[in-house]
Amino acid sequence: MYVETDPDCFDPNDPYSIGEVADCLGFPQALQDPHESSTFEQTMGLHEDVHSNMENCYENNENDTHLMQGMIHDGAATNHLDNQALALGNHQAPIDNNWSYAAQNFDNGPPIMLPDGQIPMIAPTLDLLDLFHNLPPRSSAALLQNQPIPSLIEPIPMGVYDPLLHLAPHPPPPLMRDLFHSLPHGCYRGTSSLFGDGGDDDGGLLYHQNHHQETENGMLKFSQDINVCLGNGRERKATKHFTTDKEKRSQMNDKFAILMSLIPNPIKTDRASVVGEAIEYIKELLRTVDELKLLVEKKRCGMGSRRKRHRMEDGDMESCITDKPISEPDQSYSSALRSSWLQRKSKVTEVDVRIIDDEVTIKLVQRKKINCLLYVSRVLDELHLDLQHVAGGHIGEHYSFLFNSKIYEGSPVFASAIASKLIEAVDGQYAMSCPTGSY
Amino acid sequence: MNKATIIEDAITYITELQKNVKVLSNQLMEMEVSSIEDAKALSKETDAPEETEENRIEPDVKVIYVNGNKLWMKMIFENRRGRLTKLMEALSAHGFELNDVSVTTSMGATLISSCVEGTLGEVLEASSMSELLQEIIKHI
Repeated sequence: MYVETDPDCFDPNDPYSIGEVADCLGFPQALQDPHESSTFEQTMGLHEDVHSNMENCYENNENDTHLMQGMIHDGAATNHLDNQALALGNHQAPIDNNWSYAAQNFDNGPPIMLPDGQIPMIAPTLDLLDLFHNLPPRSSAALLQNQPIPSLIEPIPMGVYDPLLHLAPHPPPPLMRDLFHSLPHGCYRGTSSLFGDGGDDDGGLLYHQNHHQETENGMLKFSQDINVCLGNGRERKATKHFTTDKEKRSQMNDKFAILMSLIPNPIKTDRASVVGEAIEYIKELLRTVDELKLLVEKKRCGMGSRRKRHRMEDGDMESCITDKPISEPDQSYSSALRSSWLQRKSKVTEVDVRIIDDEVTIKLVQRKKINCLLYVSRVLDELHLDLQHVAGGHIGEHYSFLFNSKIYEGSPVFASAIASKLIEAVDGQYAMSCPTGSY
Repeated sequence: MNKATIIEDAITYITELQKNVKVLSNQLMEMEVSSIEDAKALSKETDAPEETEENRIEPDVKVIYVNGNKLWMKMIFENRRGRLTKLMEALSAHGFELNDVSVTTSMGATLISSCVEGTLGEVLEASSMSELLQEIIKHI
């Protein structure tokens, strides 16, 4: 039923033989997890189909991007693709996580079809790929180890991106509603930037996600190829449902995994808390963006006034304002009160940073017993913060501190940078002092 | 809106916001670089007045022995940037740790009131600690 390059090495029904194939092809088996047999078999089933159809479709489409290949992540398949990708040339800079194999090159290579015209999995869009590029190594490793095999791929929910077709069978739970409300209400505008191309409709809304104008790894024209492939002896009808519950569940899991990977320092991994943390994170990001905009404006204004101050000794503020006679928003930015706050938690540390004008108030709670005062004070110096008040001490299992500091004039520090640096420093210290302790 | 869409939109939105943050902070960094000379020129002006002030703040140190390897100390010294960090670094270099700290800065002076514990387990003496602290203040 399928053609495999190494029929001797590989038996589709035996997950362990993947290892042999991987060995044959010299692929490190880092990602292989024979314990996850159920998802593995599922992937294997898809794997078989994929390969059979790869052969079929290869003649039809020699070039262009094929996200389908991205779906195959387990050892042999990745390896197979990896060889292909390497052979066909590599546009992408190598990335450490496994996603790189999938993301590397989809310029050339066949799309993958199932006999009944379904696409089993489709790789995520550019934004998500960017996301993976931006993932800190720790979380991507976590992602790799904790998730079942198909999880790095985000399958496309059928018909979801078409607002007309989509019907909500029942109102979403409250937490989801909150998440929904924290998204901008033209929320499809986000998708429209992804799906700006429109493209073929009868290929199925399924494929709209792959219409993407600019991608770094050239995942363009995928849908066209899909449609061509689909057109070969099949009805060009969009199948809107993934038939099995398993697939639906795995899709949702994948999405939650991606969401979780976006959140810095997620504490709990159950769905509800992931959504809750996503809500908080979105709000935090919004505040940060506002803060940064304000800072940029102030700096622009400040730079103008400072330079004039050197040249002429009077009328600083006036020169600042006269520099920008036109734009009213600028003026409002420069006279606005800067305020922001955010909270970050890691496993052993909690940080609350509040900024008003030029004062920063930091509350730090450290859950394990290391005295972090020195390190925090160093970090604050690096961030150009002038410590004014410190209070704190040892309470039970915690060290709790309150820091009040002033920002040196002109320093471009902002809240989330402070919080991240602090957590990084303190956790680093903790890790250094308790290398064998559970983190 | 069903769950799947919401989650996906959330993912998209978060990545978009993260991009914005990056762009803005890069912008800020670039502006910071270009304004560094201005900042240096300014800082020369602001640092000078502190030293020529008439009522300079005399460093003051008080140490009291509490028990075991714990001492209580109270210090007042002139507030200059980075001094607090240097003080703590010096103390930790000598093997002392500050616990239950209270630092207040006002009118150009810093007041530290804290317990000092020896991390190396030795018994400390109030007088020697007092001398050590005064030495440290002179050097930071």
